[in-house]
Amino acid sequence: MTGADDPEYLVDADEAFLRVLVQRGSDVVLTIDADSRVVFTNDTIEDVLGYDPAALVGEPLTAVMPARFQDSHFAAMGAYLESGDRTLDWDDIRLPAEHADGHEVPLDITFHEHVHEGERLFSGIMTEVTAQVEHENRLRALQETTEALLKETSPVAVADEVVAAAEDVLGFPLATVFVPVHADVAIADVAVDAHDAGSDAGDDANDVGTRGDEDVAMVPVASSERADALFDPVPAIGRESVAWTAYESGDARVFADVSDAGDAFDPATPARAEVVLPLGAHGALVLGRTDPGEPEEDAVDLAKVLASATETALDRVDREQRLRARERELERQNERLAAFAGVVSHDLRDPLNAASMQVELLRANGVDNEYVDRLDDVHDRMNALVEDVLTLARDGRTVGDTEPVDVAAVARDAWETAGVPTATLDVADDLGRVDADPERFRTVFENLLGNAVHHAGEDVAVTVGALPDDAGFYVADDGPGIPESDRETVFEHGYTDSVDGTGLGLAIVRSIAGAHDWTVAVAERDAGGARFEVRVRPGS
Amino acid sequence: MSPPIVLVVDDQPNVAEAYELFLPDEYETRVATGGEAALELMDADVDVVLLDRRMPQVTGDEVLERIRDAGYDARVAMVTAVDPDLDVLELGFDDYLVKPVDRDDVRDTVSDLLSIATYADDVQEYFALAKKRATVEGSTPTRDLAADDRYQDLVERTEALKARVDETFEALDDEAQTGAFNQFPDGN
Repeated sequence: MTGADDPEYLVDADEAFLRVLVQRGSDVVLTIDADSRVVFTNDTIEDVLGYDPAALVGEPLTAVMPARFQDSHFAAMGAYLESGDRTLDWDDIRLPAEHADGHEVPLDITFHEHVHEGERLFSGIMTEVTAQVEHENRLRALQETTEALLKETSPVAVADEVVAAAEDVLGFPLATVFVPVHADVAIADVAVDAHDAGSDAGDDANDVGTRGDEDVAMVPVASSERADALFDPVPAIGRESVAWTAYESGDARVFADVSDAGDAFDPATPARAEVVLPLGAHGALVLGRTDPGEPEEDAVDLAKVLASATETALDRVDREQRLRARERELERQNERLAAFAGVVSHDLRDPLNAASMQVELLRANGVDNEYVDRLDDVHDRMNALVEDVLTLARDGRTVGDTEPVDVAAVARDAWETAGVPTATLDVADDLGRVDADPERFRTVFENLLGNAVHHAGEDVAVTVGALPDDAGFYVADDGPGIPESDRETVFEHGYTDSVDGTGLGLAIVRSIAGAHDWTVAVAERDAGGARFEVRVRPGS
Repeated sequence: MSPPIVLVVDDQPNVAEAYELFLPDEYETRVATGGEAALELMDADVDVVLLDRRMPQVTGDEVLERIRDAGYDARVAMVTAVDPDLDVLELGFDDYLVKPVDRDDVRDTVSDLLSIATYADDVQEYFALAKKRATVEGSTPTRDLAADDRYQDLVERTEALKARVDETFEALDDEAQTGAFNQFPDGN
């Protein structure tokens, strides 16, 4: 900027120039005296606040000031005049003024003081920031909408939220979310369902994967009240439409008058100004008004933000719905499998019992040799299998009430059944407690310890210790260890390398761990041997 | 004293035969390979019933119900491939064995049930005698009591019975002890 003492500059800026600059500039200038009476204001005030500048002179400043600010104004003014302390910021402060018609106009104001003919005068240079404030408010409102979208769990609920935001925040009275439908979906049904039943009935309509030729039309899943009233109801639309074009191309379209859209224009529509936004694979958002005119740029920009948030929300809902459906299917399969395993296992007990009794009768009738003894072993193994299958089917997937359980005590307790006299168990004393279903927890240890005995031999030394950071515990043995390639498969049903194992023990361990939200994995011990790590606190 | 009588019920003849084989020779056994046959062999002399639940035609549960309806107070152990669920609470059995079973399961179960039966009878008799003794003691001078042989006999019998009751109870394992207590609420 040129210095104020530049003589040439001052010569050019003559009185008339300065007058126009002040009177007709884009900022309102208003000057008051020490009594807060208006001594000057420029012509611009008429454009911004609706007052006749000449009529305002001599009036108190409160004439243009909303009532709620008046006390603090006089307090700040009084303090300044008395002590010279500026209790308010003088630069670029945002305050509303009262328009002649009563509404408030947001302003950015900078204050300035000078002495004129011996009198202290105070001027405010005021820039109207209505558009800026509106933009900020819309952004805030859209932010809230986006947050609300995060919580929605169905496509229709998302669409409802979006339509409300388009109407209330962006100011489009006509707002509709269209979704594409496959050829095999009855269009009328979907449209009617979505309209009449509200939140969930229209979900099927949104069950679309990718844009493709099999989509034949688009149906509304949510629309604003005025759109409903105007179209009564909003109809399904075909491929020859602006919405379809936007959906298929992925490009947003803005029309001052949609009747200029050529082939894609539906002659029946009463909409004129329109903004059409693709929602990725999910369809299109159509916003409009009944009168023509270029939609304001800010609203269009924010509509794109809204459309993008909508697409993200619909992606998420879609993913979650697929995941839930998959989980439900798996749950059903598991239940069927468990029920089947239960029935078969119970049914096997009867013939197994009968077979054992036959062995006893053989012995009673004088047939007692190593072949008969082997039968006992076979029956024992079959029984172990039956019990393991039942445990897996019944206990593995659900957990009863959990309580803090002493890990070391349970380990020693389980060793009573799982251990053998020739093997040793060393239990660390810093294992603490974990929240667990006590009975299931004991089953975990019985299987881990039993596995060590089966796998590493009857002279095995087993160690139970704590994992670092209080994350859980491990069970390690000094046997041959588990080859790296087998470390996942050991948890599968039927994996066994010993003749008397059922191959289900570790599957039971993982199943019970899973039901507690724990994880179990195999690690190699530094000194060789197998090491199973059970993590009960995934966060640590 | 007559030998204890055990009724063995299983629809597979060899299984019933094996259970019979497991039981000590001094027991008298009756074997039924169906529900109907079991009910025919049932009478007031039977002390213990080993009863299969899953049988064609008349099931073990039905047999049990009819035994109870008929008022027999024999101890009944269900021997079955079915895991007990909450429904079994309605059944009036005294023990529940899940197949497969072995020699020890069968022998111990029957022996415990017989002990419980003895225990229940003894306890009942003990309380009757103790009451009689208390009544007499309350109404007769101590000097007269000391001189009376019938009173001395009563005292000896009460003490002997109490010792036997305690001994029987101690011999039962925890589970059977609980079972022994359970004999009383329904008046057995």
